[in-house]
Amino acid sequence: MNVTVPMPNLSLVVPEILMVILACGLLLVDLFIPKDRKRVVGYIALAGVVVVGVVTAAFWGKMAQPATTFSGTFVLDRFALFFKEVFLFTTGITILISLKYLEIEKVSLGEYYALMLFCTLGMMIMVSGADLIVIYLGIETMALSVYVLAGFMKFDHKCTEAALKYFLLGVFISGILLYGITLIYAATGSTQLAQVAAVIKEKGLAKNPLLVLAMFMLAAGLGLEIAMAPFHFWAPDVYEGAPTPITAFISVAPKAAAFAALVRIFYHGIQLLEPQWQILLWIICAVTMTIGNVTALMQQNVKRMLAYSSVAHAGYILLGVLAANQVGVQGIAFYFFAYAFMNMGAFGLVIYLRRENIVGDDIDDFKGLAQTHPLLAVIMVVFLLSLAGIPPTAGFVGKFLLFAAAIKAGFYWLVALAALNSVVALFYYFRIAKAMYMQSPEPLPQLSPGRGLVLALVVVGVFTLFFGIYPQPLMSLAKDTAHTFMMFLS
Amino acid sequence: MTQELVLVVIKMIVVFAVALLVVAYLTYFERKIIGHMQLRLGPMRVGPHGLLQPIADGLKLFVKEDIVPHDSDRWTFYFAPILNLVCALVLLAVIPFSYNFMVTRLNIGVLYILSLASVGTIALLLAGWSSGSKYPILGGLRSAAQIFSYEIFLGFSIMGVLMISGSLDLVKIVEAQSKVWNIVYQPVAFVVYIIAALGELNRTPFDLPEAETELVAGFHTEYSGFKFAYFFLAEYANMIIVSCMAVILFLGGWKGPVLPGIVWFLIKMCAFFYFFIWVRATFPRYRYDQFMRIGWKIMLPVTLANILVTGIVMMLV
Amino acid sequence: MMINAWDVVFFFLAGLILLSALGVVFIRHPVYSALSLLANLCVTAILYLSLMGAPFIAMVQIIVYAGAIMVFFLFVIMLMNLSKGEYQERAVPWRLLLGLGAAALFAFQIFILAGEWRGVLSPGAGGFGVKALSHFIFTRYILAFELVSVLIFVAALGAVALAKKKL
Repeated sequence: MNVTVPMPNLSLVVPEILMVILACGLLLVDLFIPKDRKRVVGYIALAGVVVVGVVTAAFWGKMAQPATTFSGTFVLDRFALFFKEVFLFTTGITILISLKYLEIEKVSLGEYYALMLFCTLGMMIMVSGADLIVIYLGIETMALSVYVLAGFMKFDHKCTEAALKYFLLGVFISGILLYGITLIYAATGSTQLAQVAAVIKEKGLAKNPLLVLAMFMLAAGLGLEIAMAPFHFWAPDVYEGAPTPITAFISVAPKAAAFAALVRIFYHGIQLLEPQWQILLWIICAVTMTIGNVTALMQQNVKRMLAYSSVAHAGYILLGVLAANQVGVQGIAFYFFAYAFMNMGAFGLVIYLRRENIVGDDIDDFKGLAQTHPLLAVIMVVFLLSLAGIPPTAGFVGKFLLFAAAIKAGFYWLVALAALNSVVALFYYFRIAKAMYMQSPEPLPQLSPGRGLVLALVVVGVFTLFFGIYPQPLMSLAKDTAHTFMMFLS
Repeated sequence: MTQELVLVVIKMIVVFAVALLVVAYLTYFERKIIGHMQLRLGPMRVGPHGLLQPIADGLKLFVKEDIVPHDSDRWTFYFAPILNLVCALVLLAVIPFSYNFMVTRLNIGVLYILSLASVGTIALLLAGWSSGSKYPILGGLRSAAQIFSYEIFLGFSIMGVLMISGSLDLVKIVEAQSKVWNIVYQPVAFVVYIIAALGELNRTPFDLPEAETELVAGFHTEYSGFKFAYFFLAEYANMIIVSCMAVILFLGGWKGPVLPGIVWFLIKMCAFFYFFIWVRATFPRYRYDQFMRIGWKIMLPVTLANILVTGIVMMLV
Repeated sequence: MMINAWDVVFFFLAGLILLSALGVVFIRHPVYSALSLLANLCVTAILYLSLMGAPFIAMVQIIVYAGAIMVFFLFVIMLMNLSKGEYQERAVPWRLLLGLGAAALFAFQIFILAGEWRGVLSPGAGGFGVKALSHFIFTRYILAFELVSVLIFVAALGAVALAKKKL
């Protein structure tokens, strides 16, 4: 009767365990904090995220070689660690920019922060999952939290609608993803990536129609969070309707997590299907970039515009996945950090522009910002430059790496298209700059600065510039992440 | 092969026929006992001491006009009572009345009972909805919500027993109680089980779906004739099941000295019937919000704590 | 070609599953559609029980899906209480179909019980019983198991946050 249960190596999941404890603890603490002082909950969450970030960083040195635990369903390597830091950084910044925003919107529920931490946990699991089931559970944990966060201001109709759209599409796509996983199991008899790869190799299943179908479904399932075409339709509505800090969060973290999962599944699980997924990703990449940039041109609302711009960025990053070389992985990793800086910054500014009765997301709200708040305008220009990929900003370095990787892999046409798209992108980014510098301000109510928000803006602004001018440290870290996929990338 | 099949069929017929007869006479006993508790005599006219009353009731229901309300959804209206009775009766198939008297033995008997009992809930919902009038639908929704919430800790209260006996097989669960009955190890679970069972059965003090002062008669308001009889039979059949489960899980099933196993089983079962009737005669009805609060805020934590304590004790011993 | 008993069972159940799944999609009446889903779930459970020898999964399928989730579905449908104008009925000979279905099911049961099929149905049993399953869950998939608990907790937390009257 007695079954001995072997103790798995728990040391590798310490960051995740800490995250769960932190999130649950936060819920308990929340009970004892009066309604008007909920920002304390935010501070605790922030401190916790910093601690988890430090703990996660401490693993870096030890993880030169990937290590697995829980019978090979969980893997910790530098790739995972790097992305975990991206999530934690994004979460930290989101908490900073949320503090003031929640007070303006009169949201005083501590669950907000707890959900954000659970979301981060889900993403941390996603990047470390070496088993499709674990990856799926990570995705669901993340997605459920994000659905609720997106609809958190439930008395706002736009917000509710956005969350509902996101939710409905999300569960539908989740079903497709699950179906894909089932097909992989049906074809190979395993859900563990390493075993899936082994079986494909052993039995020569590289052209198996079941697996090809499964590959489509996996790409679709992850494509929703990535917001790649044709699953990008939710993005503008959700970005516009959701609370702005959450929009910032959604635009960076889940996208990064889904990309990381995509890379791991495609490079580690079904790498022998490369000829097939190369065609698929080539088309998606081209379509995503073009749709994102062209549609962004027509937007009047900054949140919607940034939504389409984030779709376009997903296209650029797909270049890195497609390239399937060391520089590509390095580029993806670097780009996400850079993207976290600049996108969080741009959305942070939208929050800054939140005035009484105005969300601050119309292009007209930016009018004459250079005259009234010159410093703010300068920071915004930095973010815009970075988003457009112009030196000396982190965005430029990231884009350079991605393009270089694609050229190295021989995707000349695609890179040409991407370059063309970048030019188009310049146009709409500079519409904001034009509004700020060339138009005169309208008499409007006070802006809503907050210490946390200012701190966040300064941090991301400085990082954007710093890693644009001196990208070496981040680049070498990003380079190490490719180590996991050495076998495949060589 | 054929012999085996015939045996199974005979067992089935015996169990179901006896069950239906028992059900009929349960109503008689209920009326008698409550009558005596209220210093009345209960039914006395039909047969000696009213012994033929259930038969007369059955005949009456048989010949009554079969009314289908105009606004009802005809198919569902017919389907619901059938589903309800079938879900109740098929449960009898796995109940071991003694070590070798049962229709069939399943190695997951407990789960079988829980799962089909939960399907029975749907019948009540459908009955309420298909009647096409407001009291039944309110009654149906109420009963579904009620059974739904109480099912959760009904399942949890059984968990402790399952942990001790290490099986989902009803026979093995009884065998594991050869020395000491589970009620000794699991007194809390037993009490919770009884309360949950009352909630599951929609009986006083939890008969909210049929609260006549608020909802006329709940989900079966519009039912008459034999379709009504189906609900009636199902309710009492469920009482039998719940009593049998209590006997098997907590009171050592057919175990007992001197008398044969099946007699012990029936004695214990009857004790439960009496208890249910007694409760009905004694307690007033709960208010709906009180009822839900008891379920979610008291019973659920208690059962979870019970599982935890059981686990810790089992690990230490 | 020898027809395997397993195949017969499988195709019969699979046919029923397909039929009921089509019913879910094509029946316009929301309650009938839900009932079709109920039938689908139950037949799937039978498939697990009879062919895969996974009684635990079969029962859990009924408890969770038929017992819990379907009740929720019906709850919502009934609370909304769509009037007849909001969906359109289709003329399908339901009586005939139902009658045929019931007859087929009954014949099949007799077939299984009477013939030598009975022995065939058991070998799978025990292969994936409760014990084997729990062994899997608590060793190999312990991480996934724990994650599910986190996931459900998050779902509950989100529901509570959305259901609160004040922000």
